Amino acid sequence: MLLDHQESLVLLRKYGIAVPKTMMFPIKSSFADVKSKLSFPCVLKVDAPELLHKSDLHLVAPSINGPGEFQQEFANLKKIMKNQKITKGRFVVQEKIRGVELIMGMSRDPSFGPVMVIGLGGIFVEIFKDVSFRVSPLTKKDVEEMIEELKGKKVLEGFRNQPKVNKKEIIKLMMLLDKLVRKEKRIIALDFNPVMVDQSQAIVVDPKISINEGAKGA
Amino acid sequence: MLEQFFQPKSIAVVGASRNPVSAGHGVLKSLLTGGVLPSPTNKAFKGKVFPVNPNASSILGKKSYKKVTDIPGKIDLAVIAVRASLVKEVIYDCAKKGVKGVIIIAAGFGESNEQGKTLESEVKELARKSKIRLIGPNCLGIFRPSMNLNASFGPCMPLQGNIAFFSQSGALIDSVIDWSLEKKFGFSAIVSLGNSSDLEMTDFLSWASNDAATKAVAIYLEGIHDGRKLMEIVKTVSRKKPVVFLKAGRHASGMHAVQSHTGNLAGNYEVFKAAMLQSGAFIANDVDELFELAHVLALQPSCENKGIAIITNGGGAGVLCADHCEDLGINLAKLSKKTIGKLDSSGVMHPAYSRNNPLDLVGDALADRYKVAINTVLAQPDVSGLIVIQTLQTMTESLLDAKVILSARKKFPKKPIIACYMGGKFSRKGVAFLEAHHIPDFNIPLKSARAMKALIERNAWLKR
Repeated sequence: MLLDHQESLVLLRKYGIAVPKTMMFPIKSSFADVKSKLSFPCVLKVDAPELLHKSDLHLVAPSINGPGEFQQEFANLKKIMKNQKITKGRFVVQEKIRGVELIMGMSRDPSFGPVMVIGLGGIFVEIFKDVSFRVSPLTKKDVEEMIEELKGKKVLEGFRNQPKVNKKEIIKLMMLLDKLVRKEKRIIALDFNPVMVDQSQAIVVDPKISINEGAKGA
Repeated sequence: MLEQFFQPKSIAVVGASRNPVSAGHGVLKSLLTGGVLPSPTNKAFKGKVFPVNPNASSILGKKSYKKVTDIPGKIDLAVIAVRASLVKEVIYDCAKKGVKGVIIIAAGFGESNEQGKTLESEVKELARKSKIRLIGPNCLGIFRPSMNLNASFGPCMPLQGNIAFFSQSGALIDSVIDWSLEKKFGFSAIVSLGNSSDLEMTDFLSWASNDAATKAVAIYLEGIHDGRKLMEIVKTVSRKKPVVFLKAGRHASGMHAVQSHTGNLAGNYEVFKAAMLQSGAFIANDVDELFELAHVLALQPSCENKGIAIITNGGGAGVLCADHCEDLGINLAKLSKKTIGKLDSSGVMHPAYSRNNPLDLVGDALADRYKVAINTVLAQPDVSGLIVIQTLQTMTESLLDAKVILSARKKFPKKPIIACYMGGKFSRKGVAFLEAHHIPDFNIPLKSARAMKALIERNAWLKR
């Protein structure tokens, strides 16, 4: 089963992994309840257990620039949820993070144990499968080589008008992730998609963490 | 460590048969003469050999015994060539006799069916209790050329050399031996692992790491029991000696054959590859590359990626080779003014020689020109390795060129030289000389460049 957003954030923070500034509101909140706490630009999402089985239903407003837009998106999401009979869960409001998209993840191989993966996000991973693997535990040198192996690595070096990203932060994040999967044995698979990187930071925007059934809270 | 297999003094062949097409007959003949098929490499095993067969009084001129316990004196190793259902009884006898190691040839164990699986675990348990180490079952046997030891039913004795070859396929070993005699590749040991009931790949890797005669390890692998453990061992061994893997079952289509073959699942190839590269091993794509890499890594010093020089008597071949080097991330050396000056004033260069890397000596280059070029280029401090290409021109001195290469190899022991003699029939003498003197030689520029790349990777790993 998957950890919900709240549980994922708690786990990541415990290991010093950077996540966006996040607020959560009960599912029944009205715009009046939340509007004084907002800052922009932000992302609005729904975190609901029913959604885990409805991957086609994308309840995310990825870029909201002001209160008016927020109110509109908020009403829109509420309407969809009503139609879909989603009653449990909460709203998640996160600061909007910009940068180059990466993916990071882990899956457990029956013979070799945790296998770490890093790749470039978006079409690089979806179409070109531009990823590299290593078996945990990683050294910093391993992560450097993993980045070096990516065919699209130029994207990280300030391609066109993109910023040149901070590789040290990418390496630091991979090392933290490596530590996390070695300590948290209940995690069977993990996906950070995307991780946003820029000149100064690498932030996990959307973590998906699968844990062994029955091991929740262990 | 594992002396009972690699340094035995006395061997019993249980199931030694008079039938010349049986495995038991093959093993006995191989121990008594060196091999079943005639080869100049065949020599009788240096220790004692005792056939065991309840129905014969003598086989191949040797007195035969009814049981292992009937043999006078100590027995270090028993090669068991009886059918699977009789193996347990033989192990009991071996235990009574104090035998320290057994090789079980028979198939029909864990690789076949549930009944076989049960039988295999019983045999394994019996051996463990009796403190007998076990190779197999379902294997070809082992070879240790330095001991004149061919305890197998393979074709003949391989050449003595410094590659240890461990294989989960026995049939592959047969063909590799045949081929290695032509290519003059020698072995410190060859082991057919079979089902690895007791001794497994990691045990042989650890053994090879401490074996003075082994300079590189070549492994043919199908399934992996414990990837983590393999990784840890490879990481340690590769600090001392290069390890090259050839892994079968990369795709699902090959998986079925692999499963029924060794009785365990092949892991995901991408993960395997990542894990082994991370542990300092090399991955070959086919059998030729497995031995070419092992051979080069065993014979040549590792190479810094400072600058590789290419010397050729054919412009096209030189450019091809430079292209491959670039593709592989090999840095090509820039020839210094001093080097060019020395070549200019040597008096043997053709007026149209390239004066650049690749250094094209022009088609009419004889051995004297190669000699000056090779020695001058290798003397340049930032040239870390050299590929010498020879295309066949009517005046080319194939053998003399090879001798020039060998003397440069001795003069610059820290700088690897890889030869690329392009051709066949008319270059054979030179190629044979290079092979006999352990200078790696390849027929095409791509293979030479790949070999150099392996030496560069080895250097990077050792510095890590």
